[in-house]
Amino acid sequence: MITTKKMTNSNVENNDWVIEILNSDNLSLANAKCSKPYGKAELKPFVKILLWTMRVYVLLSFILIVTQIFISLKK
Amino acid sequence: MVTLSMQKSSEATLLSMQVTTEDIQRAKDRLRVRNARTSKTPFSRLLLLFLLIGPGILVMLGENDGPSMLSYAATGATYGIGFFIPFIVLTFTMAFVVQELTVRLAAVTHRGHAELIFERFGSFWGWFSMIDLAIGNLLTLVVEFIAIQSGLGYFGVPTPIAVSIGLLLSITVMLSRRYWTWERIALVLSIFNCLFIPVAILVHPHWGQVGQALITWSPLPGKINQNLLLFIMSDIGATVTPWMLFFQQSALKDKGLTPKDIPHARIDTALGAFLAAAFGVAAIVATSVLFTHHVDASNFSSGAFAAAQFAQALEPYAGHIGATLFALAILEAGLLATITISSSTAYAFGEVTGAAHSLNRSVKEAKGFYAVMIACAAFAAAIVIIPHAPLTLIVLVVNVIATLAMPPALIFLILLVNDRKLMGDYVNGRIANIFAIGVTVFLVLAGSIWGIMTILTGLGILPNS
Repeated sequence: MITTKKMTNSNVENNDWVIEILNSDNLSLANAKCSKPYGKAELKPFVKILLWTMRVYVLLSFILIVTQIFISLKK
Repeated sequence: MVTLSMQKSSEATLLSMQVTTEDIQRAKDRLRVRNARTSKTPFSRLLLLFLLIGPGILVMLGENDGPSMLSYAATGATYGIGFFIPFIVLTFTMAFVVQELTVRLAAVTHRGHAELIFERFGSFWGWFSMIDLAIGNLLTLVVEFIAIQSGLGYFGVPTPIAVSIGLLLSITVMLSRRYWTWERIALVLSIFNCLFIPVAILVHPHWGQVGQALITWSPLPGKINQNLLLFIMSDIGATVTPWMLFFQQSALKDKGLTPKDIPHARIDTALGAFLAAAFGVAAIVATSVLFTHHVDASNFSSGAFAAAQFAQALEPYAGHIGATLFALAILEAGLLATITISSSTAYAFGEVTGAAHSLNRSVKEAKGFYAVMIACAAFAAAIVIIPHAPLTLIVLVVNVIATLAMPPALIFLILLVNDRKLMGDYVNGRIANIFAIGVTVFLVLAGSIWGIMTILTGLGILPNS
């Protein structure tokens, strides 16, 4: 049983209860970065097309914003 | 199936790593949740909800920020009570649909939004998301400080002092060094968003008309013109924005949300959406009195002192108390958004760079995280103080960037929640996908129309109003 006393006295050396709690909730320690790495997604052809469309969209958006700033500054 | 040997190996991995203050603080929070869940006392259910609410309310009320509330105020002053009241309710329903996806993503993957994009779609999209968010957030922060300046301006506080007060208060909350403390202070602050309700009551609106508008969507705002479309786009932009996706997912991860907590996190998000819609509607109702009395407020929302102008215009109808409450509500809106938006940038920075990123860390442990958070707010505050800074241009660009950045953010969100490798049993179902894709298509179309209209107006092809 984890008591309030244990919590209050907790420090980085005495941390068994911390590990127990986090482990029971399936949470990783902060420094155990990506203990379960998912890796890069295997993209379906549709998603690949979508991502390329987004690249074009991003480029067009950038042009739109720059044009907008240019117009506003010119006024 | 989880076997005993897998559990032992997982424990061994955990034991071999150093426990940080972030883990200790998170474990304390999780222990409280566990105790509340197992307790059989009559108040345990309420206690559990109290422990798990937070990010959902903060994200929704954080989006009821300075410019959003001024946008609602301008809507009320221009169109009165009618179509826009149920429209605000609809936009917050859409916001709930979108934010619920981030709740599941955070609970199942224990990763932030930027982190997942980086991991699953590569560094180009990871960095793009972070930089896109950072630029949008930085400019939005400038607008929040304009709101703070404007709110305090009503009380005669000079701009440099008003901005300094706002910055100082924000930094004090940011440096609470404990996620739980930060969240609770921000929640207390967010309650003051309700100040729009007494203002609405003080102008003595026709409540029957408000009820009728909610049910019948009428009276309609008249003929469809560019001005009406701009108000519609502006109110959509005031409800669903990219920083919300990043913020809620990162905050839930920092809180240590698990799949067991999803139902409570949904209640949290729904409650936030309900409160934000109620306060947004109250802002419209409050300023509808200006519409009724034919007060021209068309230049208020674009000005640097919009809140003060609205408060002064409301004084004859809501009294000095009503006007004061309106100015205070705008001040709160700017302040809360400064805290939440700065943290969303800092979280995304940490997630993409791999640096420590948690409000449970001390400043010493997460220097980069706190530096980004404070630097964003300080830089935005400095811009507002600079004499003759192009604030009107910044307000315009903020809206354009927020609208244009939304489609990629939403598309990544939908791809991620449909990723079975990430989500397992929590992958998006058919009905959830219909809603999510429907909302995405609506927002993309709305954003595209607005973007095209903005540029055509700028080129002089369309008239200004």
